[in-house]
Amino acid sequence: MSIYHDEIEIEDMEYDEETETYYYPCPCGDRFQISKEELASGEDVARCPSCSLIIKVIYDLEDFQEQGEEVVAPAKRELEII
Amino acid sequence: MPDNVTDIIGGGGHTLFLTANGRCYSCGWNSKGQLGLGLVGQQNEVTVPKPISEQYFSESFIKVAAGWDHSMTITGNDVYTCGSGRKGQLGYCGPDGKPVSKSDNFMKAMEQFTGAIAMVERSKVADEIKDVNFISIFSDSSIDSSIMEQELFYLQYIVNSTPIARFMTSIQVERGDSISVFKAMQKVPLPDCCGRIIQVAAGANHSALVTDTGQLIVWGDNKHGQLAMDPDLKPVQHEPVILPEHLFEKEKIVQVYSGWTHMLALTETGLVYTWGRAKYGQLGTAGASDENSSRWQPHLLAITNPKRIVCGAEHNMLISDGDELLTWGWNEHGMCGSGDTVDIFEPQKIQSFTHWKVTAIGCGSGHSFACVTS
Repeated sequence: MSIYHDEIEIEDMEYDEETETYYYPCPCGDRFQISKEELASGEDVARCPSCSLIIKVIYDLEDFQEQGEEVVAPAKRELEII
Repeated sequence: MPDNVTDIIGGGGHTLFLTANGRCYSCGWNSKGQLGLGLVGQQNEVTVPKPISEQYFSESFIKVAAGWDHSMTITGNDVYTCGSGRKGQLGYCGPDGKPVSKSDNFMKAMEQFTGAIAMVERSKVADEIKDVNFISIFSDSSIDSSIMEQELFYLQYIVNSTPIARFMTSIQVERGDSISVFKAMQKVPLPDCCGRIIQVAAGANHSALVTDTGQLIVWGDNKHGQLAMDPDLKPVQHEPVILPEHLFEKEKIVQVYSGWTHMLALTETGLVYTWGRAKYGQLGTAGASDENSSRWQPHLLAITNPKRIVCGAEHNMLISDGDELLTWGWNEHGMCGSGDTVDIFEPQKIQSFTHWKVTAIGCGSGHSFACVTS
């Protein structure tokens, strides 16, 4: 059995610009989280602060490394349809 | 605050209140428009319950349900949804279920999408809105002169979606604000030949209905087989579909319950079917566990004629016909009440409740409660 609760694509996570962190709902009621910095370092496990469940984040490492600071996650300003 | 509340339903971060006269109030997170209020402005949270406009609904609501970030209401004849449609859970998103391209303009987005949130760039507010026929700068002469001085715009908008869900409101925003437009509750197009809707349930990202003809209608995320369809063939179901009756051996369904990614259905003869995610024992049927962490085909639970069933995110509680309390599923936080934190793969009696009569039960995502009498 996989150690992961689930495998989630980065596009399905929500990005918070203030904390520079990606979030995804955890069934315990809290949220899995992983920072942009962690992703850039190759970390792909998002953890929930309230329980033992973890998810594997499916993403392209190059998206977070090459552009460095210029990486802008899901653009919030212009137009977003959810 | 709403009066005569008969039901309170919680989603991921929002709450729906159903009243005795069939009105629905909502509060909490509204980042995806899951409150169904059709608000404009920077209101991602509503802290006081507000009524969902009844002006354009032909009937009163009889049941409500909430997923992580979507909401559902039923009137008997119709079902309405709002909030996130990313996994098809609204039942009316585009055929690919994807948000429109970010390069699409505001008007196009509003025409094409329902349950959507559109944010307009600050500087574009005035121009964009003048061009869109259902949104206009509110130019009441009594306030017109002060608008510019106070740097406030008054906006009025009408969303023409379905004839029954026309919604109109006006709000005040400061010049330079981003504007979020949430459509109000939208009617879901249902398949032909389905009866009157009597029950509704929402999972994290999926939706389900029961009709008075005993049919089960589902749509939304099917990643773990929670829609009783093979997830390899149909990972997402965008439009409501009636499940074939052979899945339940032609039994009539009378009630449906949903966890995060699993569902239970009660039949007319008191049988209980479960399907979907099985990783933590949430299906309650031994065998569908470690090696097979989900199972889309409905299987019978070993218990019949339950008096009450409730689902947490990944666990379940049931009152048996003998008034015993049984639990199964994810137990990391002790929410199965077994006294330990080991997941439970088959319904198990809570021994400490043996001498009490259980009168009511409820589950949160990771906690449970029961009302008992001696």
